[in-house]
Amino acid sequence: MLNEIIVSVVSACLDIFLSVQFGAFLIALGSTIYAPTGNRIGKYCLLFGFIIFTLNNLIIDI
Amino acid sequence: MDIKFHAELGIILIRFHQASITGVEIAFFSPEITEYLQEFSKQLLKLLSSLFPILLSITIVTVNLSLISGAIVYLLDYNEDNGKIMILRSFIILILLISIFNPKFPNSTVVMEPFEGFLPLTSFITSYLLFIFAALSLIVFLGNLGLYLIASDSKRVKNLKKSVFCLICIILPLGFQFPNMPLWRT
Repeated sequence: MLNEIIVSVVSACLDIFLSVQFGAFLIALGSTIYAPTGNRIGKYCLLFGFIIFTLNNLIIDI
Repeated sequence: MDIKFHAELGIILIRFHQASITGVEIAFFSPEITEYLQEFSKQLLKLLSSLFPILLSITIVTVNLSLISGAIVYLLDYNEDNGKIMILRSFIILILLISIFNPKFPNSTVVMEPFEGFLPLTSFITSYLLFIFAALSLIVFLGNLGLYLIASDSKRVKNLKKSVFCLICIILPLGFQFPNMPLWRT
């Protein structure tokens, strides 16, 4: 029973964090932070969002 | 002692066996939690996709404003180059945003179904701002070119390079819209 609960929680988290919407959200947030100020947080946010977004589009295309 | 111990152990084993058959007595969590989590993730994704156009319009306006402010600092600073890094950062981010979220760009492989509905306002604001500052940078470029043709110093060559860089960075995001004002086309 505990296995099912852990699997469901992990799958819900993966559904949220690896989706197209979250990648686009990260790209928008990172570019708002990074473009005027040049923070380190914004740079990594932008990179991570770009990676998620492109991977989603590649998998859909294949 | 031994008999009592064995009897208690047998009773415990029998209870475990019954619980493993029925499966209800041990379970602290019901299987409704998985359905609840799936619904929660779906609703959170819906909220993200509904919030996204507003956030993307805010990002496009801020990136364009940072590009224009960096261009002003870089053009009006006579001796040093202060706003160069800011121009480069915002230019790269703007090209990336255009290449990802613009369906007219040839290499964009994005399904734009949840992202429609933000284009008119941001394109209105940003194309006006970028048009005004592209015209200003063109005027500055022509002035620097005239000064360079009259008397060529090293500082004037540097200013000419600065204005060419600024002009390229401002005109390229506008694309083919540049010679026409945005409202004149329609």
